[in-house]
Amino acid sequence: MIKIIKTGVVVLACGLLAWLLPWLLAFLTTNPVWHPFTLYSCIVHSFVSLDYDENGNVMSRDFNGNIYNERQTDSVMPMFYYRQLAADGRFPSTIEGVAVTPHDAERTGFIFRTSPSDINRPQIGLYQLLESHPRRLEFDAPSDVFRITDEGMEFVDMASNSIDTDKSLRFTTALKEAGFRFPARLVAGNASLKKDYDNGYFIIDDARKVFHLRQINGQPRVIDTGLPASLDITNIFVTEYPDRRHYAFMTDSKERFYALDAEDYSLHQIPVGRFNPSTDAMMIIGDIFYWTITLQRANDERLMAVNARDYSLVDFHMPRTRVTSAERWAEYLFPTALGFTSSKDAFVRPRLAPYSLHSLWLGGVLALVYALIHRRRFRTHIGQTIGQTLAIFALGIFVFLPLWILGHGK
Amino acid sequence: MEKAIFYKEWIKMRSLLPVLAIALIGITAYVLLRIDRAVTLNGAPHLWQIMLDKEVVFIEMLRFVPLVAGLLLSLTQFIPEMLRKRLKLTLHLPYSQHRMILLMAAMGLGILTLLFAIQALMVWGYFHTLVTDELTSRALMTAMPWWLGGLVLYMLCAWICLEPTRYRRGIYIVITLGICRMFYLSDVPQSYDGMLPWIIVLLAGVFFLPLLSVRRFKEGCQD
Repeated sequence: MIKIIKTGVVVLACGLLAWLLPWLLAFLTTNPVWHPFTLYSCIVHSFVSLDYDENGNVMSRDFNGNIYNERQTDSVMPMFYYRQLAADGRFPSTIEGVAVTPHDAERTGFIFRTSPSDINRPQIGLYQLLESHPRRLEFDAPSDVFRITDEGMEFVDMASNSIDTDKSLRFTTALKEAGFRFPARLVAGNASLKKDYDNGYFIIDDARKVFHLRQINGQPRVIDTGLPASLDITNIFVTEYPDRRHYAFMTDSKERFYALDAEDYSLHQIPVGRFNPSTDAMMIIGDIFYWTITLQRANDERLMAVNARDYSLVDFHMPRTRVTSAERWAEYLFPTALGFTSSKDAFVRPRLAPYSLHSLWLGGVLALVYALIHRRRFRTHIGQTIGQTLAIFALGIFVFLPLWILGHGK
Repeated sequence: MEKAIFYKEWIKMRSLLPVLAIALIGITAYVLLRIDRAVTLNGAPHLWQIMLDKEVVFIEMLRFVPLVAGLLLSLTQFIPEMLRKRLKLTLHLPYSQHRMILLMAAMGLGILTLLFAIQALMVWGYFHTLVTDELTSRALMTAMPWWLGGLVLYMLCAWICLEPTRYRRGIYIVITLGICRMFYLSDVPQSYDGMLPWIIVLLAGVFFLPLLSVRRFKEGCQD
């Protein structure tokens, strides 16, 4: 019994060291990584990165090697710096032969962001449905929330904490009449009151069909989007941008990325390659001409420019990802690393990094030191000492320290 | 003999227990009253909105309470055993030493569990009248690692108190601090759901740790 407890204490200490030592190394050695703000320019037709010169002044450079001062930077990115250009009276009257005004730039500009931690977090399945046609310009906070059960849609009145049976029945009937099959596989919407208009919710039913649900004057408005179930849509991001051009961005099970047209629910594939919102982060800075898309995946980062008019890829850049010095050191010092949190999700659970063979040199040295210190124990406790030496060889400092500190006679 | 052991533990704890119970119930009642006040001033929908939008459960004030309760109860129960080496007398009783130590710990764990259950019941009782089951269970599941953390710290503290040498006690304190940190890594409600089985395994493991300290005490380890 005591032997098991002693082993347990060493295992516990080993686990704590596997968690805290790699964390400490990363904490002490992490340096800020400079990610210059980069946009695709509709003037020079190249990516342009913002930077600072030796005197700390804002400048930028395009990927063809041209350098621009702050004033020129405004001009090569007119759809982003339209306010400055308009204030200076320098906003161009046409771009790529299209007549534009600062108002067009304001109306069509948007920023879309998603990261894995937005997707991978505890969900409770309660949603707030806004009135899509509010009485006044701003939205009223809804007085109820809804959930989707196996049988239907259920509205719960927040003030009384009771089910609004009438409303639940109305919405359930409307969904069923539109061909919706309960339960829902995915419910996506944006319940924020701080938006210009409301696109309601997109709900995927049990048959993988996508439905569009809105509340108009308190009544349900359900539309079957007609998207084929075979697409197997996995993620929906409802967009409510000022130009009202799209309803949503979507991904499917083959990790393709789409924009859903607000005019006719047609789906346009955006050529960004594989994109899985559960593991990858994406940012789109868009305007009437181009969308600059930054896609961060586990092992690489991609910068893409997509023509906003026909969704074609016009430029692509893959910056070299560098392994940080902390990561390199960790590979040689620690056989693995235990973590509980991750930037990819909001859950706390144990996660073990892959085993690093590079750390075996340290394990070997520590095992040798341990064997030399305890050489006499080889005669009396040969099995136990060989086991401990092998454990040190495999798990290095994580086992060496507990065995040394909690060793015999201490 | 079990009755005698429980009576001995009761004598040690009897002055702390009412204070602990009043403090735990009082703090929980205060937290719930604060919520009730907010509901009176802003209405229940406001509370719902914040719970849904801001990822809060309104009982965050309770997060360190179980930890303090576990620590205090453990100190009250096990420090007297080490004063003037009274543990020696306890170990000389005609009863299995392992069983006796585990019974002492089980009594403390039982009392803590009861106190935490009362807290949980109070939270459930108030929340379920105010919000849906989803939000009520979200609040309770968010607090679950705090309660389990209190039980784990109780056992770790017993392990430290019964350890006869300062050197080891220091190491055990460092290990305990590391383990306690583990319970407070995230503020996101229900983020510990996947961690709970591991915490239960940890609790089952640390339950036996005081036996190691007692063994070392018996072996005559001392400063």
